[in-house]
Amino acid sequence: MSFPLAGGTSTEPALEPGAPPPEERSSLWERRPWFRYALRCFLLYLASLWGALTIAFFFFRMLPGDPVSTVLQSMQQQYGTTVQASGDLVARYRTEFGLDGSVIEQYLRFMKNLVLHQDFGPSLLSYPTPAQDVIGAALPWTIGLMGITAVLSWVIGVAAGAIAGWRRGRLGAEVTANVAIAFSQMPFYFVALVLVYVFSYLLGVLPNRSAYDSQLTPGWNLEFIGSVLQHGILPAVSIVVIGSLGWLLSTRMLIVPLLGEDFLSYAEAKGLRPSVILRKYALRNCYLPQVTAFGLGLGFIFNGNVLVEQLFSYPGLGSTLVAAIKLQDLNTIMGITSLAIFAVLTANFVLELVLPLLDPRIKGWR
Amino acid sequence: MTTTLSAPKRTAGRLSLLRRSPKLTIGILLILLLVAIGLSAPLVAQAIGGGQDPTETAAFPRWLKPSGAHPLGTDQYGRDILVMVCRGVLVSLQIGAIAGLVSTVIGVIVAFVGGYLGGFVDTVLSFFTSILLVVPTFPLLITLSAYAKEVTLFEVGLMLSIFSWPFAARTIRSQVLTLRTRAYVDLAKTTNSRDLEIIFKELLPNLLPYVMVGFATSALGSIFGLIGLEVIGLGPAGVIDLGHLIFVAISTGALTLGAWPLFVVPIILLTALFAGLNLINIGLEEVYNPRLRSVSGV
Amino acid sequence: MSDALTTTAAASVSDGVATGTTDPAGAGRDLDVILDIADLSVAYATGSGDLVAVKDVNLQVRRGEILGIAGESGSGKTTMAATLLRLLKKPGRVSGGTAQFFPGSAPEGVDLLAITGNRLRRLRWSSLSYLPQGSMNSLNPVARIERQFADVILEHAPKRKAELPTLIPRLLQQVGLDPSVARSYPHELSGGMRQRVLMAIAISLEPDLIVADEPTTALDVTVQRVILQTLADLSRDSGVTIILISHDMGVHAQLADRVAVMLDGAVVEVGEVRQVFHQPQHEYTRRLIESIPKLAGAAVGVNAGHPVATGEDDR
Repeated sequence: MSFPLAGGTSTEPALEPGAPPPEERSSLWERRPWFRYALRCFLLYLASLWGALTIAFFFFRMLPGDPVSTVLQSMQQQYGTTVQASGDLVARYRTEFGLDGSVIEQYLRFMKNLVLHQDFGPSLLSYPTPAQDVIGAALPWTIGLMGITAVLSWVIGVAAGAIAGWRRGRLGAEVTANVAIAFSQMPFYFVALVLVYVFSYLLGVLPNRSAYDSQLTPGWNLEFIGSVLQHGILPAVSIVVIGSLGWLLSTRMLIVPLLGEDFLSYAEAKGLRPSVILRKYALRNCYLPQVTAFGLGLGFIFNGNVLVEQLFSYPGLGSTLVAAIKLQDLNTIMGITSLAIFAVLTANFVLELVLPLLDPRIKGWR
Repeated sequence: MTTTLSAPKRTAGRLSLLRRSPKLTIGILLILLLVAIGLSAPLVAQAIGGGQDPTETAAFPRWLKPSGAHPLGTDQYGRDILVMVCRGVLVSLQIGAIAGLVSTVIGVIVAFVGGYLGGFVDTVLSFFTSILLVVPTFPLLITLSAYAKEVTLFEVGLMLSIFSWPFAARTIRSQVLTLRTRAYVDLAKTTNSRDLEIIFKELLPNLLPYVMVGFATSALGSIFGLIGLEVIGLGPAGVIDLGHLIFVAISTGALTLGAWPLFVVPIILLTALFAGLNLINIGLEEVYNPRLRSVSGV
Repeated sequence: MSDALTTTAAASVSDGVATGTTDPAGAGRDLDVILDIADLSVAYATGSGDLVAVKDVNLQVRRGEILGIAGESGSGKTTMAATLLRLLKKPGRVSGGTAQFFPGSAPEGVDLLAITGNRLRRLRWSSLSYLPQGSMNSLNPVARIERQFADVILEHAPKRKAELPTLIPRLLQQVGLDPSVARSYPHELSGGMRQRVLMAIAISLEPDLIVADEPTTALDVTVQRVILQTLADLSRDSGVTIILISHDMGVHAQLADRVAVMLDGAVVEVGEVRQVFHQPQHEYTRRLIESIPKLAGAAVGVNAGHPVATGEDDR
C-alpha cells in the first residue's frame, strides 16, 4: 500500500524487481537489499525532516507580528516604566530572538542552532527561559497522555475491527460498524466536552482541569500518581473512544476483502481453529497497512491532542502551544512545531525499518 | 477488467447506484437535511423574532430555558439559540463547500500533473504532498488563524484548504496511477490522442467518484480544523458557525448554567455532518472499489 | 436430444460403477469405497432464483484410486470440490444429497455434508486434505513455509511437535524440494515450487483422501509433467485416494484411474480412463478428448494409454 513519504516514488523501479529463485539466495542477497532499503528510508527521512522544518520556518516568518515589540510592551506593563524603545534595545532584543538580518540569514542561523545545539532561543512565555526548556517541562505530560492513548486506541481498534470484520453480517458486528462510521470522524473534543459535562458538572466525580491536584507536590509517591491517573481519565477516554473507532473501521475494511482470499479458505480447509485463522492469517495480513497508518496518523493524533489538552488545561505541549500563539512567542511555537515534526517523522522512519519484519513481501516490492 | 472498461458508460445508472448503497444514500440524505436546516434559518428567524433579528444582543432575556417561544432557549446575551444554530449550520456547510472545492481543485491539478506525467515532477509533488499529510500542520493553522483577524468566509475557506488539499490529492493521485496503466488509456495513447484529450475523455469520468471522495474528505477536514480553532478560542472573528457556538457555550459557562442546548445541539448537528460526509466517502468507496464491493455483497 | 444424451450418460454411470468391484446396491457399505456421493445438488442463490451448479451427482470414489473429474469451466466441478471440502461460500448451498466418507479414523462413515463444528475441524487434513491450484494465493503471504506446515501438524497432531525439524524437510524432499525452502516465504518461490509445497502440506498428515483442484493449471508444460509425476508417485507410495479435478483431459489421461465427466453440473459419464478414452459414450466427452492438443494429446491419451499411473495399480 502507500508508504509514508515515498508514495510518489513507488513507480520507480524497485530495488530488486522480483525475487530470484531461492536456490541462488545467499546471505549477501539477504542483506544488501535491506541495507539499501534502510539507507533509502534514511535519506528520505532526512529530506522530509529538512523539507518540513523549512516549510514551517518560512511559514511562521511570513506571518505579521513582532515578538520584540511584544516583549517591550510586556516589560512596560510589568515594571510600570515607559521604557523608550531605543534603537539599541530593539537591536539587542532582535539579536537575542534571532530576528536580525535577512530571512535567509535567520533561517541558516535557526538551522545551525537547531542541529548543533538544539536551541530555539529564549521564550516569551517565561522570558528569558529558553524555549526548549519550556517545551521540555511540558513534554512528559504530552508523551504520557498521547503515547498511551495512541497505542491503546490502535490496539483496541484493530482488535475490535478484526472481530467486527470476521463476524460481518451478524447483528452485533454490523451495529458496531455503523456506529463507528457515524462517530469515527467526530473530533476528540466533542467527546471531551460531553464527558466533562456528565462526569464533572453533573456527577462531579472526576476532575476536569489540570494534570494533577495542585495541592500536591510532584513526586514519585502514591498520592501524586493516583492524582495524575485520576486527572488523566477524562482526556484519555475522550481520545481513545474516538481514536479506536477509526482503527476499528479501517481494520474491518481491510479484513473483509481478505475473507475472500484463497489462503483463508485454505486455512479453513486445514482445520485450524477460527481464532488461529483470525489472528495468524487474517489479522497478520493487516498489520502492515495498519502499522503504516499508525505512523501516518500520528500527526493527526497530535493535532487532536492539542485541543484536548487545551480543553482540560493539561500542562502538555498542546496547552503550551496555544499559550505561545496567544503571546506571539515565535521561538516556542517554532520549537513545539519542530519537535512535533521531528517526532512524527522519526516514528515513521523507525516504522518503515520495522515493516519488513511484519510483511516479508516488502523486500521484494521495493 | 470488464468493469473498468465499461465504467464510462455507467453514468446512466446513477440512481440505481444510490439504491445499491444504503450508506451513500443515508450520507446524502443527512447532508441534505442539514442544508434544509440551514436554508430554513430566515423562516425560523421570522417566526421567532417576528420582524426583529432574534440574534441581536439583548433581543430577549438572557439564559431562557427552552420553551415554545424559544425551543432551544437563549444565551447569555439574550439571543435565540435555535436561530443561531440554523445560521451556524449554513456557515459550516459553506466553509466546507468552499474549502472542499478549493482543495479538490488543487488536489486534482497536483494529482494529474504528478500522476500523469510521472518522473521527477511527480517525485517532487508527491514528496511535498506526503510531508504535508504526515506532519502535524495544526500548529501552522492555529498560528495563521491567530494572525488573520478580520476575514471573510471565503478567506477562511481558502486558509483551511491550504492544509486540506493533500487529502484530496492523495486520493485522486493513487487513482490516476492505477488508471494510467489500464487498457483503454493505452488504447487512446496508441490511437494518438493528445494528453489533454486522454485526461478529459478517458480519465476524468472514471475519476469522478474519487474526486467526490477527495471533496468530501477535504471538506470534512476543513470543518474539523475550523472547529478545532474555535473551540480553543482562536477561530477567525466574524465567522459564526457551529464551532463558534460551542466555543461560546464553553467560554460563557453555559455548561454550568444548564443551558445545554447551546452546546449539545451544535455537537449533534456537527456529528451528523461528519457522519454524513464519512458515509458518502465509505459508500462511494464500496460502490467503486470492486474489491470491497464483491465481498461485502450488498 | 439432451434427454437422450442424459439417459445414455446415466446408463454409463451405472456401467462404470458396475464394472468395478463395488456392488452398487451395497450403497457404500463396501470397504472398497471411501467416499459415496449420493444425489448431490448444489445451488447458488441469485437475485432471480437459484442457479443449480451441481445436479444430482452420484459418484463413488474407491479407496486408493485417482478419480479424475473432467469438464470445462462452469461445469460445476470446482463447486463440487468446494462442497466436499466444506468450503462452499454463500450464496452457494447444498440443496440435497449426502456424501458418506469412510476414513480410517471413522470406518463407520460420516456424512461430509452434515458434519459441523469441531468434528468437522478434526476430520480436516488428518483425513480429508486439499491440494489447491498453486497459482492461487493459498499460502499465507506473511508466514514462512515451515510455519504453514507446523500450524496444521500441531493443530491435529500436537504430539509430533518434536518431530517437526525432521518431518518438514522430509516432506519437502518427498516432493522434490530442497529442505531450505522451509525458511522461504511464498513470494520467493516459483509457481511450480509453490505447487510442490502445497502437495507436501497436503500429505503431511497422511490423509485418506486428497481433493486436488486443478493442481497443474497455470504451470508451464514441463513443470506440469513433473508435478503430475510427483502426484502419481505419492499416490502409489502412500496409497492415498485422490479426487483430481482438471479441465485438461490430458492430465486425466496421464494420471487418473477412472474419470468422471461433468457437463452443466451433472456427471454425464464415468468409467475406467482407458475405456472412456477409447470408447467415449457421450458426445461431450468426445469433444473434450478431441480438444487435447493433437501432438501431446494423441500420444498420451489414446496411443500410449496412461503412462504414469500404470497398470499395476489397476490389477
